[in-house]
Amino acid sequence: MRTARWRAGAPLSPLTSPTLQKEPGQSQTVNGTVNVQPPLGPWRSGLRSQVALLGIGLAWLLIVLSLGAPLLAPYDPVAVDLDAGMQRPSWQHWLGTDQLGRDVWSRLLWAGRTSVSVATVIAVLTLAVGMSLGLLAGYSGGLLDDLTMRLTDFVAALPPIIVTLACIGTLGPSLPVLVLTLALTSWTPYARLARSLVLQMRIQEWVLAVYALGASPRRILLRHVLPAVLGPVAVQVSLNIGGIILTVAGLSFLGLGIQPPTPEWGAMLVDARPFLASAPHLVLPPGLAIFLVVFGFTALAERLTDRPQA
Amino acid sequence: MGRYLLKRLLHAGCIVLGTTLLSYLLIYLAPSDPAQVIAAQRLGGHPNPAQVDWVRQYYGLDQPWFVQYLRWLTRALQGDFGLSIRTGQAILGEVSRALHYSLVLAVWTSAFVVLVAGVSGVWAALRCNTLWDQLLQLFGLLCASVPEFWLAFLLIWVFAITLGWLPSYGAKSSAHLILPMLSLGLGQAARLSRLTRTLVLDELGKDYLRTARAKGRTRASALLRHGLPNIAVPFVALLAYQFSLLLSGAIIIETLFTWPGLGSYYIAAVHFRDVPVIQAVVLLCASIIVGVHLLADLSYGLLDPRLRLGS
Amino acid sequence: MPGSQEAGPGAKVAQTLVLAAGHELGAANPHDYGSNMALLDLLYEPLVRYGPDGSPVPALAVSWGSTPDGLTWTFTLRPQVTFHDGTPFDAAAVKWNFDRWLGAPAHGWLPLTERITKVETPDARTVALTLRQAYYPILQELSVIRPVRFLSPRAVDGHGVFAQPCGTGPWKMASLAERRAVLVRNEAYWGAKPQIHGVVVEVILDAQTRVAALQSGEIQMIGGEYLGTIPPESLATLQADPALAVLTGSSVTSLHLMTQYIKPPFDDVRVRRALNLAIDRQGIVQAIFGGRAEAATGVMASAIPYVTRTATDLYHFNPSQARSLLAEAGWRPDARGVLVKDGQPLQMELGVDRSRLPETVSIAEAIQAQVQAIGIDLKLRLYDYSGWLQAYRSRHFALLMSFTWGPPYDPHTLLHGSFRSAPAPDAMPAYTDAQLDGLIDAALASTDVPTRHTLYQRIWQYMDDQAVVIPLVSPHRLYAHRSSVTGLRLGGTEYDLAYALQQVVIRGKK
Repeated sequence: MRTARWRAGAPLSPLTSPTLQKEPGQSQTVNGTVNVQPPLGPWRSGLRSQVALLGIGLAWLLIVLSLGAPLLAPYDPVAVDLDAGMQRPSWQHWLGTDQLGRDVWSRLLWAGRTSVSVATVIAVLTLAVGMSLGLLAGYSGGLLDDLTMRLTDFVAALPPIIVTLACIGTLGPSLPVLVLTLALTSWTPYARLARSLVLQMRIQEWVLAVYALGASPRRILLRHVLPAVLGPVAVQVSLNIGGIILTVAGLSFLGLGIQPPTPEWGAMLVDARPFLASAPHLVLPPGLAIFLVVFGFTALAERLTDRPQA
Repeated sequence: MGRYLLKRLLHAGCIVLGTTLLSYLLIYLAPSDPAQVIAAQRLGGHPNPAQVDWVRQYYGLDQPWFVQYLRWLTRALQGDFGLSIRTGQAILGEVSRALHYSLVLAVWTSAFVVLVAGVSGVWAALRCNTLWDQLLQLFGLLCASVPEFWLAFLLIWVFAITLGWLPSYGAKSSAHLILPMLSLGLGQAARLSRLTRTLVLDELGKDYLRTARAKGRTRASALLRHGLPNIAVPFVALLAYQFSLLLSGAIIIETLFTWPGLGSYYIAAVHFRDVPVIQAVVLLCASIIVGVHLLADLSYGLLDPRLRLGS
Repeated sequence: MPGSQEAGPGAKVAQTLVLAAGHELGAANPHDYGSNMALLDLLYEPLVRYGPDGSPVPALAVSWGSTPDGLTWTFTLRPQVTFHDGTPFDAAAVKWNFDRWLGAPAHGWLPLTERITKVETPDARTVALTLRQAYYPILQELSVIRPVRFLSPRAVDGHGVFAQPCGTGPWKMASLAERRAVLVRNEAYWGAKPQIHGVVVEVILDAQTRVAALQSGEIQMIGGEYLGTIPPESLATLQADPALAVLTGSSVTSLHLMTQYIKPPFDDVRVRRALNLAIDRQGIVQAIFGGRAEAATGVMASAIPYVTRTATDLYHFNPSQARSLLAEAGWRPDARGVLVKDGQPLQMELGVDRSRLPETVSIAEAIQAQVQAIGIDLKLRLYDYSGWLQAYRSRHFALLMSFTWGPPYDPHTLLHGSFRSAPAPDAMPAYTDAQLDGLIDAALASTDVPTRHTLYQRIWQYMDDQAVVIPLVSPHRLYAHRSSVTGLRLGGTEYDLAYALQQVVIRGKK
């Protein structure tokens, strides 16, 4: 029987339990006890649930529509028509036109496509890096675990926006720079979560059984551990897609995010600021869109984690 | 406890040292020769090769990078971050002033967040699943899903322009603090409130509470007496994270409200490619994050006796 | 000493006007380029001012004259003028100031720097300037701000380094911080004192925040190229607000696109001319400026002296003619409609300064769409001010949005600084060639007005024909203030803040 270099898992400090660092609202694992939400009783189908469902539905509708922008948008989002500027919503232009005569509805859809895809790419990258490192650390143990955790601590100390701005400031506001720097500074909570999940799993009986049956560590890792860890971590990441969309919108506000004329919700909001009182059709749609999508992701993730854990 | 503290301090020190290396290397991100960049900024226009060479020598840029890094580090540890290329003033003084303003904003916002989140979270948990709870949660989701700058636009429009009750920019009086504080704090309060509610709900399901109620205490008082350690630790963890975000990430709000904090200072440096300032601010923010988390970690021992190590 | 100003009704309370500036104030040194020009105008004065109609107005010099060959100019100084710190303003102070900047390469953009060879002071009230060659715009150039205005000789330290802002102007600096300057009325001022007692200049970098602060009453006046521009999108909001008033004037500056004329595709004059024809300037004027701008009919705005030519046919919106010009130059559309020549598509990148001139982003987006219609693939590159300046100085751009400087620089200083080749390594011309150099030199050295007129018309014709830059629009001058602020008026230049504020009285509530 091969002897494994299992190390006893050290008690995790609350800070290294990443569920406490990012979006909470789901069951916590504190001090080893798995806590479960009390049964919600007859109000489960109440107002909050219904509104949440409505919000999730609307959000996903918007996301699907946005992703289908090339087919669904009636106008070219960057087509300027100076004679048709600042029109109110009408049958030709469902949400009116902006100052340069561009159709707001089309821009909204295309901007959604940009925002959601950029956020998804960043989220996937973050997930990939975080999970790989977390799995590596948790599964290998020993020196590799230590090194990976030191690396994680180091990257966790870097403020994401500050570092992203420093890179964009020197390298120029290109999309790859934006995506890479945001992803490379935000993966630490997921690495810690993945590691803690792997550590918990390592001592579970079924894993030991599979190992006793002769499965190689690599096989265990890829076929058993990875799928089990992927679920919770992916949920955490999806909780944060909303936050990523907000961050990119904020960078566009500073002029260092997505560059014009590519439409982006945050940039549309900023451009619409002078018209807060005079042209609400420019101001409400992007704000509502961001809100709906962020709300949708957050509410969905919350619902997914509301269920009692096995 | 002392050994743990020492170990954590050492650990924190290593991390900060690592970030100093990263901050120093930022100067090499720019595709052009750093001496050329600095010369162009300092002397204006097209510096001739002699001027560029002089700058290179003066700033020690002709040395190997490790030597330069050590020089920069030794000076930085003494507080000398050099002169800002943009203003020509000592960075230490400028950063201290900016940090002071950011601290004021961060502390007051955190106080607001703690108050609002604590009260609303506990109250929502106690009234779990009633209409009020649902409304509060919805409102919380709303606040957490709206971009900060959007909230700021709305607040300025309502309170400064339409009603004229509050000032819309600057940092001259305490009234100037209110709108930035609300813009930053509402979203954070919403998130912290959700966590609080969940934590309290977790506690409410526990046995000791039933015992306390059987003994005649109200839920609230039992919670306060016995549940606080369990709630406090994750609460403080998230609060610490949010506080460090406030100190280093409030760039957008500070720009909008012309609040002269670290964010405004930093964005001006980024726009101007003021590399010494960028290096100093990255280092400072990383140190702040590490420091805040260290303090938070140490406080868990105080809050929850079970977490005290070495006992 | 003139008698004290009579106080208007309700003016017993000291009146202070609060303004918003759009960029940092600097140290208020008139001899370097780091300070806000409108602020400098409040503190420092020139020998001669540029009057509202363009003619020179006596300021610190009461009279002047030149020898017939234009080589020596003699100025008689105003008597009994003192600097804010009490130092008398006399010929020695004038010479001291001139010595600080004459001949320095940093001021090479101002032709006067190298044309004045000698500054003599025959007596305490007379100054004689000797020129290398006749230079008719000497009076206009002496009315600019940097570096010609007068600093008190006692306002420097032992090494001659600027120590504190001290001039002769109607306003004195009471306190100066990075983002806030407080000025008080100069009670010992030689001329008509302002009606209000104090001016506060606050720095608000974001244009929309300035507008919001004006609407909420925290700021009482915004606007002006050199103080802090008002974005044209906010015009409707400002006009609709009953508590605010808008003050406009005819345009004096002009936005244009500089081209990389030494490299393809811009080395072909037909491409530059085609760009001129491909842009719908009227559309931009209507959609972005709400009509408060003029479509360009030449490189300089029509209000500039000596500009009488309008070449509307060259700047008319005519996409089909643009296409045929490009076809003549060898650019033909491929299957997707993009113009190609020898397998290369016609691509260009337009650089825009987003921080100081935010409306130029919308203009750039409009241009992008318009030239796309004729098959040019134009990409935008947004810079902040420092990035834009770097691109400008290093000439690292294909197209760059820039602007003319307005009076009193236009036309002569701008032509010399931007359109004439210069040996200095930090010269930044927008376009030069030998023929234009010759024309400019001749115009600047001309001594009689009719010849000068003819020479200038030849310059404009040459510039239009060669499409040296792509002029766009001339925005109207735009200021906005609270209705309680009365008496605001526009000076001859955009930095004439002292003139603008001279008769301001704040009546009633803010």
